[in-house]
Amino acid sequence: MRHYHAPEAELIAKTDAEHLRAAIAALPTPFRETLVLRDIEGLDYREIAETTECR
Amino acid sequence: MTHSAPDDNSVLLVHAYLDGELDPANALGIAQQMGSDPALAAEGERVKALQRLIHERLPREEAPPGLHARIEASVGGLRRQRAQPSWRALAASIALTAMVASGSTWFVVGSQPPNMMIADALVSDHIRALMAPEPVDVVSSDRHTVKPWFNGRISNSPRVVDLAKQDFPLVGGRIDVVGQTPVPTLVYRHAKHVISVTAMPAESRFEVGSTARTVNGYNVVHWSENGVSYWAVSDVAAKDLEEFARLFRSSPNEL
Repeated sequence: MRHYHAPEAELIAKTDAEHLRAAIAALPTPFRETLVLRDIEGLDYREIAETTECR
Repeated sequence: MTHSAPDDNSVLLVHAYLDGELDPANALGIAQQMGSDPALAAEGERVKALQRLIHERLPREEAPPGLHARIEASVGGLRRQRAQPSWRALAASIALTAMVASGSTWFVVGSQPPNMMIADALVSDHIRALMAPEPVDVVSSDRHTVKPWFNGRISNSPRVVDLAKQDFPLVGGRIDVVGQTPVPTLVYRHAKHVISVTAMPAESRFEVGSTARTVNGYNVVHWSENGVSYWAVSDVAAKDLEEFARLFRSSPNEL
């Protein structure tokens, strides 16, 4: 199995939570809402579309 | 051979793949593309690193009340319905099925324990999966993709361990049905054999050592730990399946 470790991936992994929070806060609302619903709340794409009324 | 920057469509497919949103055919396609295109593989690594960072470092905060209300209004009912498959209902269903099938005799004389029926059902699920184009609903060798895929689809997301170095690579996962209850099943490979591992709530929280049996020519190993009952089904040699169960049980890996 091949594994790739991009420098960007290492950098992201080292980013502290504050920077992450700030980056998320700076996102436009629809993007921020989608990211929170997907990566924090664990909704799937269909549920996100229903929740954000994108359909 | 040179590699240019991946096109937008491929990047979107990588994101969807890592979110467990692709059907098996597209998942296999993008996984192969990532294997041959370092730029696409790097994009995948960036996405995984970000997902890991959000999961591990970002403290959970209360969402605005309005957002929760909208989630509840749109999908909350559906998720609640999925999230509470009744284990008592499964037991009742198994008992009912057995009574109908055997004219109530096993219930009276206790000749066929419920575990045997669960094993029968899981062997049937395993055979059905082998007959399908793919034995999995989500194709991924990455446990960080497979485990979250179960979230939102099923109430008990299984423990997913990485046994690739021990020659039992993860292939993906699927949802099986025992009685009328959906249960999470992980799929591993060993040489050309497929191993299905199903996790279900255990009757008791006591740890139960592995027990092996054969159902219709398939080997089945069962064990329980931390309130979860695990069933491994495969046509791999019995000793290999027991070794797989031993490795699975002893693996500390967890998402």
